[in-house]
Amino acid sequence: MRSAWWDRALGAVLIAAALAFIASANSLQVPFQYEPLGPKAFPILLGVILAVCGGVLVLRPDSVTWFHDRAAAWRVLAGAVILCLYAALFEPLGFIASTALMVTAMARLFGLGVVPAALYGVVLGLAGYYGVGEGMGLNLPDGRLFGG
Amino acid sequence: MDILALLAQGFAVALSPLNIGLLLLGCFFGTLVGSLPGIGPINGVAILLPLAYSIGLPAESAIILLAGVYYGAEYGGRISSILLNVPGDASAVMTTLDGHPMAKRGEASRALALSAMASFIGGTSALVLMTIFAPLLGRVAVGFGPQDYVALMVFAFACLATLVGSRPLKTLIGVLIGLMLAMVGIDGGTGVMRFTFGIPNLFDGVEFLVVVIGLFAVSEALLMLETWSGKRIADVPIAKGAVKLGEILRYRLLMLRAAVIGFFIGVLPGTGASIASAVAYGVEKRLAQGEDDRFGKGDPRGLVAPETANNAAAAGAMVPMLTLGIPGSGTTAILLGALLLFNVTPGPLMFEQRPELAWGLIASMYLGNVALLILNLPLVGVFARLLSVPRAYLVPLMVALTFIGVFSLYGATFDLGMMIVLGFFGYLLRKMGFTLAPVILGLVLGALLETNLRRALSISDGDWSILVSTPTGVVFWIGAALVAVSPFVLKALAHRRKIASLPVKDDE
Repeated sequence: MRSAWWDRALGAVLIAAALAFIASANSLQVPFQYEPLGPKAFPILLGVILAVCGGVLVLRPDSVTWFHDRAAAWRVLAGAVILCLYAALFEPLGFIASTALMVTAMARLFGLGVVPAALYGVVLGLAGYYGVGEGMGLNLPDGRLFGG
Repeated sequence: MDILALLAQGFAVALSPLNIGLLLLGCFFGTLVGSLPGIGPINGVAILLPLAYSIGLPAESAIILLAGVYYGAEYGGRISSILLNVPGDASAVMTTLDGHPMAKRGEASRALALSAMASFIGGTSALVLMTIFAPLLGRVAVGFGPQDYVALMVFAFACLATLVGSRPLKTLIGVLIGLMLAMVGIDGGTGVMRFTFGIPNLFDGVEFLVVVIGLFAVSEALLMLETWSGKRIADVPIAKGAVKLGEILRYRLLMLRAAVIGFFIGVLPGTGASIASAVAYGVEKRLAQGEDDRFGKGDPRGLVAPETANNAAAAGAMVPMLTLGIPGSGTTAILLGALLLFNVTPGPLMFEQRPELAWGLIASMYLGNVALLILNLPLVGVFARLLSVPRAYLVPLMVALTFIGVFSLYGATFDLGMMIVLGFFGYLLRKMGFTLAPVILGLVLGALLETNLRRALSISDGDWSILVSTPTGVVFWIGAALVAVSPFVLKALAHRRKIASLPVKDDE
């Protein structure tokens, strides 16, 4: 999957983002201002430069190779899903349970067997909570489901 | 003599039991993350920063810890380069050229010991230069006006764009993304909210730590998933063996040259250890007339030169960060961000207002280099064994640590989500050939650049010509222009030379 369209697409996205950025800066309501430049000018300047850069990227793209094999793409996708779930479950399940699940799933992706992966997950969950959390006085969630 | 008194004061700070302990911890952790392929100094510092912040260390202790990780990682980077031919980060690439052939010849232990000595000498000589030059530069910089800072930052971005990354355009885009992220939040001058989308978590601006960890650590985890091959890395046997003192003395001039080159390249904004090691390698290869064909086949000189230079550059890159408040590389940008978190503003005034911090840090770096040398010579076998730790154990640990760090800042799930989104974004950018250090540099410097621009224009009452009104400013503008056009000139020159002397062996 080698194509110059990725750079072109990114260039287009950057132009759109730059325009939105400029519009947002331009619509700021400034009640009072003691200096000549104010809060709008610099962001607008940045937006203009970014739009120009995006334009150059559209016109002169590099060719980007995305994935070499399908398995790699699936691993990255699975990793992304695990990260999202970990973030979503972090507070509801609490640190120990959510970490145990994340570590198990992530280690499985790297080819570790079910039992060692789960064991590693429980160990990291407990060690993180009691070692790093309690030990260093950091704030980690206990989990709402377990009456925390 | 003034400097020696201040340095002595610094040693008093650095030698307190807490700071010594943190220094050793930082050096050890740094060597560890430096030697683990793919993690590198930026991730090491990024993962530890929120932890150091949340457990409430004093500013100087936290920065001593993080700086220890930073230059410790430069020591560690050589281990995987030599043994596995896998550079831990960009600055260790040159080390693989002659280091790995030496290891294949069965001289792994000699290569490791020699490079540890080279790292020590590079780091320490650069520190001596730093002790002399940093206060001088600080004294000059006290006279800088806001317009000079604007010009200096533009110069830094120009250096960055031409020297870092695969393509200047992409580096520039990275800087712009960073600068724009820095605009989010309440504007200090007028109290107006900018680009917050009405989200309360963004009123104070985008949290620096969340951006750093998302862009670097989370995207690194995804990248490791992608490049995992399922093959186990074989243990590389290291025979016992030491370097003789005579061998080190034989390279004393070479090390000195490489250290000076490394230091001054490190000081330049935007250039860092990777360029320094490449230049030092090139210089030595050119100086070794008649024998330059041995380079790349395991010549110790080709190992010593880049190792000396990249450690010298790591120290050199601290100089503009400490004295001007303008970092020269991605990792020093994170260190600058760390200082800002602790309400310390690096810059010319820091040496006067917070001498215990500035000199304590410098003194701790002297101690750190000694500690790293002592740590590295006997423990190299332990670090080498860590290279074969499977990613199945490494990556989940890294992910859990990033979550602990980010969550412990404010206890907000919002930050976790933001970190992951930025991680996906960083992964995309890296896949498309962007380097991420410019984004961090832009983020750290955004507020400073805007403030100085606005201050300059309020002095001149809106007249933009103030930007070129001082000699210092003009020098930086000319420097920026020269750097910006240099790749085109060099390309044209190389093209002409190629036509003049065909066939040319392309050796770079």
